[in-house]
Amino acid sequence: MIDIRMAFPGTPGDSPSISTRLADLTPVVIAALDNAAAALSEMAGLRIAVSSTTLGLARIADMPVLAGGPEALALGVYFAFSGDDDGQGHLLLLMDDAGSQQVAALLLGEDAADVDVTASLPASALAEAGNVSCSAFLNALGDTTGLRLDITPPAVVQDMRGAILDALAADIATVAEEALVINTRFTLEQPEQLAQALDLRFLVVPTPSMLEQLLERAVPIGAVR
Amino acid sequence: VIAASAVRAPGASSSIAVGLGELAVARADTPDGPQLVAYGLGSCVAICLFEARSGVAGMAHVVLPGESPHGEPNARFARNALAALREAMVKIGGPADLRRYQARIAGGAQVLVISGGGSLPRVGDRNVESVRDELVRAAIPLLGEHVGGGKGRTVWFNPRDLGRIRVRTVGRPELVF
Repeated sequence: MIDIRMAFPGTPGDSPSISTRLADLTPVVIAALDNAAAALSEMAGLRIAVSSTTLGLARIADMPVLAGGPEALALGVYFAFSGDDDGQGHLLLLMDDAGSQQVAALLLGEDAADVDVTASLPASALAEAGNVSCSAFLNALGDTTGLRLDITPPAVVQDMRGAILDALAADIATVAEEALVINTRFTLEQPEQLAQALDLRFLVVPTPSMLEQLLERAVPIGAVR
Repeated sequence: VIAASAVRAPGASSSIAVGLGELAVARADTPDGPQLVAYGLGSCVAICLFEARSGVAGMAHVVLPGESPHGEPNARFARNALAALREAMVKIGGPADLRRYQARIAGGAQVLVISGGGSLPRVGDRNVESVRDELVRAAIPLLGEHVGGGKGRTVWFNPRDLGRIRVRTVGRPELVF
């Protein structure tokens, strides 16, 4: 059972019509997230699923604290994506530091204690995990909406959680005061030890023009566009 | 936007978290007064101003190097942040003459570097350059900086430290200057 929430804090920029229009986009996003989880599961040989998703408008000032403590060390695999017009967006696979070490170890078949996620091989493995999940998400989103979505190569970064999100928020700030943030938690069904400890998040932040394109083209799953 | 969130840890003075595009001010002569903190600065720059006679301190969390479209005092933009700080600092007893303040800055990193060139602009470098230019324009002496590089920073600014700031970067010793 996926926990889906629509979070719209009471800021002056809120528009009731946004939440109404998001009703059509939400199942499209959920299907794309499931696709991302399935692709990641296949790559890692693990059972990974979407456990919760929050869709909500966030102020730029609040973005660095959206995914936990801003000073906590984390590893992010970041991609920018763009659409047919001038719309852009940001994708981030974000995991806590200990979790990233264990995920890299699983991908490489090594002992977590021997893995340095900043070394080239583990970083490449984590980049590929990001690549697989983010590409699967965008492919599903593109198929459903008819948008051609291009993605950049990955940026793998180990830093304070807030600093990774600050860089992303700064880019959004060039065009908007607030943005839609799709904040998703993935869970593992096994191995149990990792499943309990891992904080694995998948964040999607479209710019307003990209969001508008998605809203225009999103139709309920099963309907004919 | 003026930050309003205050968090008090047991046995410690309270902190005001200064979010992106926000600013906050405080006075040194308040015994249990708050310190100002910007957590996890990436490409953003924290401008920390202090005026010794009044003991008034202010921090702006600058996000972008340019100017507000409307030209109003605004901590988000490097070109408008000093005016926003002055406005807020005067309200708590600071002088209007910016030349009486001293400045420290930190931030401006390039945290996300995409392999093969990348599309994210180097906002961090441009933020630093723009903030430095504005400090020169306002004749505010820049007494210390920790800027650039590829790692994020957290900056604490306690008014009772007489203008000095503490900067934490992952994996490195904390700096005080």
